[in-house]
Formats: sequence, structure tokens, C-alpha cells
Amino acid sequence: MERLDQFVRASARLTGFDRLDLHGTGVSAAYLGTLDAAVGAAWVDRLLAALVDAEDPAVAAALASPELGPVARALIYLWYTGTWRQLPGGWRAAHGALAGDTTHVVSAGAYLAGLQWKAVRAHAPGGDPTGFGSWAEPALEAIR
Amino acid sequence: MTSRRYDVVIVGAGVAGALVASHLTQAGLSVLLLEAGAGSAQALKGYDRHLQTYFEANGKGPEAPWPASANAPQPDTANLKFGNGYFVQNGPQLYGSSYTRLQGGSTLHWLGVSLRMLPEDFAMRGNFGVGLDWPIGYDTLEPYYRQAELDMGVSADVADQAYQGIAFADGYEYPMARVPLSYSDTWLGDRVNGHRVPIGDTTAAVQIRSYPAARNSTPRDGYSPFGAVDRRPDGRTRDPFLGGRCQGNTACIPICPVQAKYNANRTLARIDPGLLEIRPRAVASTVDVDENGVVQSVTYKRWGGGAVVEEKATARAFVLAAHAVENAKLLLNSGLQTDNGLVGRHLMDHPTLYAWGLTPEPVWPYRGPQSTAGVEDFRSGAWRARHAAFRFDVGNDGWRAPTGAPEANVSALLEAGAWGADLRRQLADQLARQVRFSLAVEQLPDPANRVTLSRDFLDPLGNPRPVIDYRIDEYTLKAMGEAERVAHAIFEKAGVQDFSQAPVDKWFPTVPYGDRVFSYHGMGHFAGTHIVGSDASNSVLDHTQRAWAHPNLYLVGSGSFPTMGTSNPTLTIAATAIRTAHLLAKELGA
Repeated sequence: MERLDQFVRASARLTGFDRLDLHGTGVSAAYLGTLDAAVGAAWVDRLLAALVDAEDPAVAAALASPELGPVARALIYLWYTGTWRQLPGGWRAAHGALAGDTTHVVSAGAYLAGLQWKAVRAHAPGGDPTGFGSWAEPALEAIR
Repeated sequence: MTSRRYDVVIVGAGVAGALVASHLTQAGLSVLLLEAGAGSAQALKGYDRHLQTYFEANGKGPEAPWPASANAPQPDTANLKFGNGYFVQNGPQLYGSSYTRLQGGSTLHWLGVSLRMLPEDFAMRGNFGVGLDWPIGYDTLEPYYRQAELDMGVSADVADQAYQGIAFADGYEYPMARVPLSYSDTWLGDRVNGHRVPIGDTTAAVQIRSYPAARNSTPRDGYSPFGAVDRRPDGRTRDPFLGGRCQGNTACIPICPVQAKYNANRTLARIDPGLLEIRPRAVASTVDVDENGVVQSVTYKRWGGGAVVEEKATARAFVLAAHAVENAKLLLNSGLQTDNGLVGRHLMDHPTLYAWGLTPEPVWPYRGPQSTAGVEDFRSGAWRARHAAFRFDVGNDGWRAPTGAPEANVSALLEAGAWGADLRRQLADQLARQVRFSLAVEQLPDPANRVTLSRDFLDPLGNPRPVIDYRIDEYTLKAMGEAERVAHAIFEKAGVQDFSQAPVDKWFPTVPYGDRVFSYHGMGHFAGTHIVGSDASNSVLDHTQRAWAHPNLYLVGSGSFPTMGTSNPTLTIAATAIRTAHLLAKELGA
């Protein structure tokens, strides 16, 4: 399996959005790069191994683990907001911090693609507006 | 540089300067407009770069798309917490507002609320025994309010706006129909409209009411909306009639991506370039007067083209439109403090609290303009003798402002162990039910609240930075408590669970009151640093905004306001600026 595909499968388990949604953001490859830059490929591969095709208890166990948990949560936060948030000090001290582990918006596209907006049937401020007057009605579910 | 003599030199290319330039040139006068900042927002490409800057910024505050240049520094609310910003703050409270020194000014990131002041607001001393009186009243300003609404492109229905004495000319309608209310506005209104809440010795009936907004909506009677400005470096200009309606980008503050919301560049782009020269990156440092107080020139420093060059601009008359703080700074830096010492004094804002809660069912925020409605029922009343008036904005952007949602919700859910479909479902449930009010409270003119200068604090061009003394007094603090009580009563009536007292991760300035501590923020509504008045003893300017001490010097903007009631100042800035332009044009024989 391609590494990017593994990354998206793992991300789908973590975020509750399916692979089509995640690929549709257009930033999945960039996020894999962000993760690699923040923690290094070895940690990423450990995370993917723990999550791809994992049953719920295994995902929960990964999130509860002091090694993988903070990385997995940072990845979820990245998908929902477009921002990589620096890992907790404890993790950085224990496992070494890479230069990529700084709090930053990955790109304009990442900001606009934040799943938090999609979750509430809305849009990032400044992008993908719903059109004049649409706000007078309840929000529509996304059309597929 | 050119030694051309202009009829009028204007300092500052924000809404006031742009409208003065517009009306003077319409009268055939020639104008030089000096702007401290860059002209980067007047071409579509540059504007889009500002949008990109916002998208990529870690912090998404009002200043995010509009970073300051070193030579024209500006306040940034992000600096408040550490006291390391442009303002030198003496306290006791922090002045919590910011403005933008770019061509277009703070209209680049305003909300677009275009309320008229109430007739009673112009005579606070006469009506309520507090504050000061304006030398003019609502009736004098009414025709200019109409002109401002036309020039800025305001959307509203008179039927919604004729309240508390606000009168309109016969048959008048706004240029565009009101912006549709949001679903959450209507949801709230269905539950609370007409509900009576005690205030003073009486009660007021609450209404979730559409407010006038300078955002393109559906035009009336042949009105042509103006849209995105595209004045390019080669002088070419795109058809300015390509004005689209508001798309609901939910980003009025800090940047409307399509310029469906008014900004001052829309006015500048329509002015005959044969009569107007805009000189960006030209920071005025002094107003130079002769022994009779007649202004001879404005000295300014040009930057951005290698070495900084000092030049002088000469004209028959001079208009300072640089912003309340910068106008006062210019006078003080020129040694032009008035005999009564009032330049820089009476600094005001609308210090604002948030109230936020969860509705029992989804109201689908995070869509539409940032807000579309207000609660205006507490702007007027005999109780203004005892405490301040206030008004609410009803938000369409969830808890973004008070708590940092939705990111804050994502964080909290992750902390609590949520992931996958459960995380998504819980997040959707929380965000879809968020409502927020901004409780903006009036402040009286207090001479102790002031802008001064100190040679100890200079910017890179050697211009002094503003030193601010600011105190929120009992009159306003009491009203903050009242505003909180009213917000809570509205939430209770609507079945909204009130979270306003919940601790948040965001930082706000605070002010103690009795056993309470209010967390407040600035509304960006600077006012009162060079007030108009009935004579030279009680004011800096006469009713035309001309300096009592300088026959050819005018100061426009909200610095001229002796009081500002509860309305957002921009429309009154515009109306008073247009009036001054008309009177000045007459004075100059145009």
C-alpha cells in the first residue's frame, strides 16, 4: 500500500471523515509531509502501523499511549484546523523535537480545508461562502 | 518632488479622508492626499495578497491581514497582554482597540455596522446632565447621513430603523434592501421579540433587529453597488461597477474577500485622478503654522523608495483625517496644543463584554456575514442620567470571539479523549448551537482619558508614539453589569444555556467593579481627542470641524466627537466629514 494511502486510512479512523473527504481536501500529501517534518518518518510509520485497518479498541489504545497518543491528537487537530500544533513539552523532551514541530498554519489551503467547518456544515471564514442570503435558512448537509 | 500647489492637502486615506477628497474634488478643487501606509489594498492583486496573509496567519485577529510597516506603526490587540505594542499604556485600564495605517484605513477590517446616532446622543448634558453637548444636532446632520449612506452603500430598510427618535426624510429609503437576517437571528427573535426586560425605572421590549450595514445587498431604484477596487500600478482601473452582493464569507472582520463590504478605497477609486493625487508611504510629522496660526504646510517623511526623504506639502487649506489618535498626535507634535489643553483629551471607546450560550437545537452559525442583527432597545432612556447606554451585536460566528471556537472546542474534545465519528458528532453538536452577543457600552468624555506624547518613545522615523491614559468609570461599569443582566434575561427567555461566566483560554483585559471583574475588549471605536464645541474655551474645533486657532485647518473623524452614544462611529464620521467638505468647498469659493 502507498504510504500516502496508509496515512489517509489512518487519518480517516482518527477524524471520523472518510477517505474521499480527506483526499478531497487537497492537503493530505502536505499533511503527511507536515507530520514527517514534525516527528520524523519512523514515528509516523509506527503511528500508521497502529492505526491502519485497526479495530476501535486498538485505535483507543494508540490514543491512550504516551508515545503515540500526543502525535495522534496533533494529527487530528491538524485535520480539523489546518494548524500543526507543537507537541506537548513532555513528548518533545522524551523523544526529541524536530525543527518542523512548531505551531503553524500549514498553508492557506489547509486553513480553508479544516474539517471543523465541514463538521458544522459551514466554511472557513473568508473562503467557500454559501452565497447571498443562504444564511437565512438552516445549513444544508453536504451534497455528494 | 512636485511643487504643485493644491487647493487642499488631506492627511490620511481612510473613510474620512477619502470622503472629504471625494466631495472636494466633486466641487472642482484639487487635492493631495498623504497616506502614512502603503497603497497595497487598492489593486486586486495586492488585496488578494492581504487575504492570503490572513489565511496563513497563526492568529486570526482584526490586524492579521494588515501587518504594520515599521515606519507607520499601529496598535495591535495581540500586543495588549504583554504591553509591547505601539501604544505606551499608562492605565489604569488598557485601551483595547486598534486601527490600521494603510490606504483604506480601518474600513479595511471594520464590521460594516452603519447606525446613525440617536437625536438624544447629541445633547447628553442637556438631556441627562452628563457628558458634553455637540454644537450641532441630528437634524443638521440628517442630510449628510443620507449622503454617507449613499456614498458607502448601506443596506437597510427604513421600517426597521425608525426608532428612538431616528427620523428619516420623507420617502427616503436606503440604497439597498436590508441584508437578510441569519437563521439564528430569526430563531432568537421568534423566542424573545417583545419580551420586556427591566431597565432603570421602566422596562424595554427586546427585539432582534436588522442593523444598517455597508455591505452590498439587493439594490433599490437603480442604485449601482460598487464592488472590488482594482486600481493598478500602471494607472488602469477595472470597471468599479462590478459590485457583487455579500456572499456570506463570515469574515467582515478582518477582511471581506470580495469587498462586498465598503472600504475607503472604493471611494478613492471613483475620484477623478486629474484632481486627486494620492501619495502613499508619506507619514506626516508636523503641521507648520505662521505667527497668525495660519497653516503653511504639512511636513511629512516619504519612505519605501530607499532613503527616507522629508518634504513639505502646501495648500490653501489642510484637513487632518489621520484617525483620532494620529490627528491628536500630529497637533501635539507640532506644538499646537490649544490654550484649554484639550487636544488629546476625552479619549473614548465602546468597551465591550461578550455573552455566549448554547441553544437547545441547532441554529447553524459560522455562516453569513459575521453578524446581521443587534439589540438596540437599551440605547435610549431616562436612566442614561445614571448609567451608560449599550447595544448588542448578535453574532453569526459562534463562540469564535469569546472562546476561540471552533479550535477551542476541537482542543477540549481531544483532551477529553474523543476521536473518530464520536469527535465529529460531538463537535458538530456543540458548534451548531453556539450564539454570541457583543455588549458594547457607551463611555462619557473624561478629560483624564487622553493621548499624550513623550520624546522617550519614538518610532523608526523619529515620530513619537502615543502614550495613553485610560480609565473606565463608574457610569460605564454600572452599565456593564446591566448589559450582562439583560443578555442573561434574553438567553433565559430563549432557552439558551448561558456560558458567559465559564473560564476561557483566551486573554482579555480586565477591570474591577465592586466584587466583580469584567473581561472586556475594545470595539475599535476611538473618539474624542479633538472635540467640536460651541466656543474656543470648551473645545478644539468649531461645529464645522475647523480648528478655533487655525483658520485653514480642519480635523475630521471621530476625534471630533464630544460624545458618541452607542452607535458605531463610522457613519457619523462619514456624515460629519462630508458636511465639512461641503462647507470647506464653499469657503474656498468652489
